[in-house]
Amino acid sequence: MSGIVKTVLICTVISLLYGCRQPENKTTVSFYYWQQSNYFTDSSASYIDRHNIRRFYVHLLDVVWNTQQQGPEPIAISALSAPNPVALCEWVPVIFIHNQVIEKTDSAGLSVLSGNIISAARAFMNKAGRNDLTEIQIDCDWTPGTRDKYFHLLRLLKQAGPEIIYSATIRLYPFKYDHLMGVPPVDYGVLMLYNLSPIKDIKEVNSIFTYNELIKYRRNSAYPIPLKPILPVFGWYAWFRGSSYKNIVYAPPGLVSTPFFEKQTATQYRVTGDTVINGNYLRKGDILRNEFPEKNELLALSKNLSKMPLNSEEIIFYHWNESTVQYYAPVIKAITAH
Amino acid sequence: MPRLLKPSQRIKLLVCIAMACCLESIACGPGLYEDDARFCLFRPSIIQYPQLDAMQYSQRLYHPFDPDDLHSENDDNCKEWLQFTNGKVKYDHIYELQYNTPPDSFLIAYQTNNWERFKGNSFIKWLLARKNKHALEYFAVAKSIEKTQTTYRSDWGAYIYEVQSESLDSLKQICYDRSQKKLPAFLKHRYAFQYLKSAYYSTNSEHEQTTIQEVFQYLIANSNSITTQWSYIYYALLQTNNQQQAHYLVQAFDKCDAKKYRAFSLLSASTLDTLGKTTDDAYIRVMARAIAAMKHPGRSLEDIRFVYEADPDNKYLPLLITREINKLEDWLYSPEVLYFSPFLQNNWLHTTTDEWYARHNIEFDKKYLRELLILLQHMQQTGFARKNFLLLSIAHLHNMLHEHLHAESILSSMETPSEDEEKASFLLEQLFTFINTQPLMEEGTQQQAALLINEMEAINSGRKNKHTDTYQHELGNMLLYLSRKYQAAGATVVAGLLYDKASVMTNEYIYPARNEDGFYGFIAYFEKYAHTDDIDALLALKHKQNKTSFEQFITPPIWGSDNIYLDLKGTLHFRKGDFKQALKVFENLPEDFWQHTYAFADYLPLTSVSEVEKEIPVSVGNKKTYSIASKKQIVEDILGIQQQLNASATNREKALYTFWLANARFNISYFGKAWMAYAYGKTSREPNTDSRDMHRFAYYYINPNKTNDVSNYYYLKEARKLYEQALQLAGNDRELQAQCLMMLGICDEYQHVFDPPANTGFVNGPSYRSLHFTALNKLYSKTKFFEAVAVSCPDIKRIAANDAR
Repeated sequence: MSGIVKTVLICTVISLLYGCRQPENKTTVSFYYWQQSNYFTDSSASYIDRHNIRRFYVHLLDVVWNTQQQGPEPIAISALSAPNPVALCEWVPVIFIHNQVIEKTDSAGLSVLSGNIISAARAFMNKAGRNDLTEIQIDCDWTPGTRDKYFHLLRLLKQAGPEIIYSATIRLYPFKYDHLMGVPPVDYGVLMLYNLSPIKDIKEVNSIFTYNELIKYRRNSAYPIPLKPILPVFGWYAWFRGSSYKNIVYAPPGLVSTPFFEKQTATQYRVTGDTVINGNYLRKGDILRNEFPEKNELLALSKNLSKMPLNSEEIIFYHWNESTVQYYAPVIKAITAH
Repeated sequence: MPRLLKPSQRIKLLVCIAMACCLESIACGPGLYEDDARFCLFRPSIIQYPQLDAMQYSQRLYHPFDPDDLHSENDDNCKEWLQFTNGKVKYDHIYELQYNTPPDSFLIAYQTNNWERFKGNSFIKWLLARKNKHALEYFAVAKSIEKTQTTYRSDWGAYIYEVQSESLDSLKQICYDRSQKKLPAFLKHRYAFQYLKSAYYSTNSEHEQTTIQEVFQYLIANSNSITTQWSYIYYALLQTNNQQQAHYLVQAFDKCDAKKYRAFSLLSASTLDTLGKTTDDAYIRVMARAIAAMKHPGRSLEDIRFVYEADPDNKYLPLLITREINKLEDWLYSPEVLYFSPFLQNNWLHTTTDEWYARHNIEFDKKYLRELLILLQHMQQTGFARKNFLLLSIAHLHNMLHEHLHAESILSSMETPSEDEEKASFLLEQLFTFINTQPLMEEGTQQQAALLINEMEAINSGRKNKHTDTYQHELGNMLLYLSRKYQAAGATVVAGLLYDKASVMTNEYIYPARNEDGFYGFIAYFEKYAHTDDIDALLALKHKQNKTSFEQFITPPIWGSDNIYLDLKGTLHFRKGDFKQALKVFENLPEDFWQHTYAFADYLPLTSVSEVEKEIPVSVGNKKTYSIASKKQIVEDILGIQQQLNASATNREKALYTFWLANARFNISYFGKAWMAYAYGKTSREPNTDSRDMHRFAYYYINPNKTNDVSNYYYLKEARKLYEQALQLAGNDRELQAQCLMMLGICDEYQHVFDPPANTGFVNGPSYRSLHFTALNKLYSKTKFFEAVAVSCPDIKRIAANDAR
């Protein structure tokens, strides 16, 4: 290794150390890391440094119901390992539990499951060379029917690992209607401020996020437990033919700037010639609705978080993807500077 | 006296009532699975390569067949073991141990030497023989490796990040060592394969590339075993270079039928593109292009041309050609025949931009169809191994281009294929040609069609395998196509019965009756397409003694009672406003028919249709009541008012009876209390059945055609005309004038529910506000009627208040 490379590496590590552990007195920025393995580019480290990103909520695994074994099963297990540009930041393992698991698991099974969640989180952190498991986040789309069992699982987790901080994801419906959905017994919640409207309706402007749609979920009083906001920095295209929804097309934000598309409304683009995008055969006349949240709308939200009401000391972005993070970089920077 | 509701409130109430009653016709749209929305006549199974089923064209980006359901690899593996044992054990016992025995179950028996659980298993008995101890040891290692793959574990932490790779590494080493030992070649080969597989699953194989390569070379050089075929996929996945990996995945796809789908899934379009452009290996280049074409949802003609020119005998060409024909069928026929279309269905109210694009694309696709045909004709001239397949493909494309005589000429040059798949396709193509070249209405044509269909059914019934449903679906598509042809020719009875027999999901609210207790299913098709004469013909066919073979073929397994069809016939007269004829038909039905049939009792009113009590909070009609739910009594009531109108001498009388008739027309519309006298269902979706319907599923509605004029039902045309007349005739009867204006205002607003500029559907109610209400307030606020209305109707109060400012 040449001397120059060594120097650059050392500087990078120092700057990462500084970046990750010496926050200034402004909003803390965190990200979800939802990829299953290392997915970083050369610019990741400097970006993380520049934006004072202290923490990554790392998707560890999904828990699904195994019909053959009639029990919960871990799938989509993270292979994220050190070294990588997020190695020096805090990691919070996130476990997504399918609601069906809660529905089908009895109380003895929930007890086993709680032990397995902690065991998996510890093993994951150890494997990554870290011994700083201080927090676990549980992601579950619970319903009134599974609420009691899900909350029981959360209490079991606290009993099994009392030294660990537990957080839980909260969608907007349970946020607004906590009297129906209950409040999860965790140290704090993270509020998902996205996926607001039905994607299949061509009349929608953006199913992922619009500020006008979001404020419909505003509460008059603070949520019973502390909440951190999650803002969307992701998007896709909703594809329609003859006003009929066909599919989600995954493509970067700049797709509709190419000559294949003609702007119809603020978010709708007409396909000008047959083309294949990510396995989807788009025909002339089809409509793609750009569902990347508007930057200004995200800024408006960040300025008005207190109206929800929400605390904005830490803002979490969903999710880390190099190209979309670059696309939203000015917004993220502006929000950080608030 | 009922409180007058705002139009929007009334609409919401109606929706709620309708939903609560769970009326048969108020249903969600069809759930679409797999390729339900795709029309397909050209049979994919003609390629006769079941392992490629998953690569057939699919509209919905996933495939109709489970790629693993063949289990042919399991079968091959067991057969190899059977051969290794010199046939001394039972095949089923090998299968049981290989695929139905959990690893722990075997390993516990092995470790404790307690084989009680496997008593009677001839393969275990063979393994336990002293001379076969090496085979038993192999099984123990293989089951141990299998155990590391089992994802269900009591301790996830240990499983995920600790034990798995450690134990796998030691097993991997054992496999390698034993593959080098002096053992039977069969076992050495299997150990070598287990090594390769373990190397893939282990996280510690990065430094073993040389060994991995050596083992792979040994595997492919020494055997054509199923394990050799499997080894391609593992070796490909062990490559660290993307292009190298693609290189071997392409080979895995080609050489290993069992792992075709796995290899196919792992190859991306862009990887294949790069591989095709950069490789020096001609075989890989052709394969990369062929697989890329299998992944392409759009036009792949150039790929087919490339593959054919490079390798005219390429075994994947039939698949690629079939895919292309099925794509064209989807693009051209799915809208035309199934009505899953931006322009043929649900846009009966308006022409749209979407329609323009749809028509443009269809023209574009027809040109493409011609290009494909030219290529296939070229292949025919230059020689192609699957001659029958190619001829049937060409004939099919000619038929799609309406060049039926060309198709006929090709088919007549062929001998009937002896093989079932080709024969079924041949018969289908014959039928496709035949019904487009012969006079449909002639008995000879119909008998011949029935003959061909029966022959196809005979082939289908002889093949009870995983394709059985698919064959039925293909035949169903043909029957549906035939139904559309007969409908276009005006033979509604034949078309309707064929439609029901086809049993194919279309984007229309039509389904056949499933049992004798049904009602709507017996008339669903005919309600939409039939004339009154057709119902007579339908009943005549039902009772005909000596049916022709075609009539027998289209005869449904169950008929409804005659009364069900007579009710429809009377209703069709009723819809046309021919109340006298309607009454004549209804008089043939039992008096209490509607009281005890379908949902009539719930939705036919018991108060006169001259009364609009929900709209006007005072009695304004003839105050009659009906003794039971009865379309007949409604018709008699209307005819009675008409008689009174005809007999009336003064304008005042004329005005009153005209107003009553207008009320009757209003009531038998979509918005009125007697809507079920006219329709058989009602949904809140009907105002949204234009092109902006977001999901484009079929809901109940009456689609306008030659037999159904919906201007009265949805647009209140006749009611509005009669209210206008009554208003004019009312002279100085300001009370009646006020009532007419009130109803005109309501009609005006309701009409806009179906009017696109103001259409907001039921959710938000009509946003349009009628000026008739303003006039009512300005000119008639001193009438007793207005005062009564203003007390109970907040809408009128609001208008009055606004106008007063």
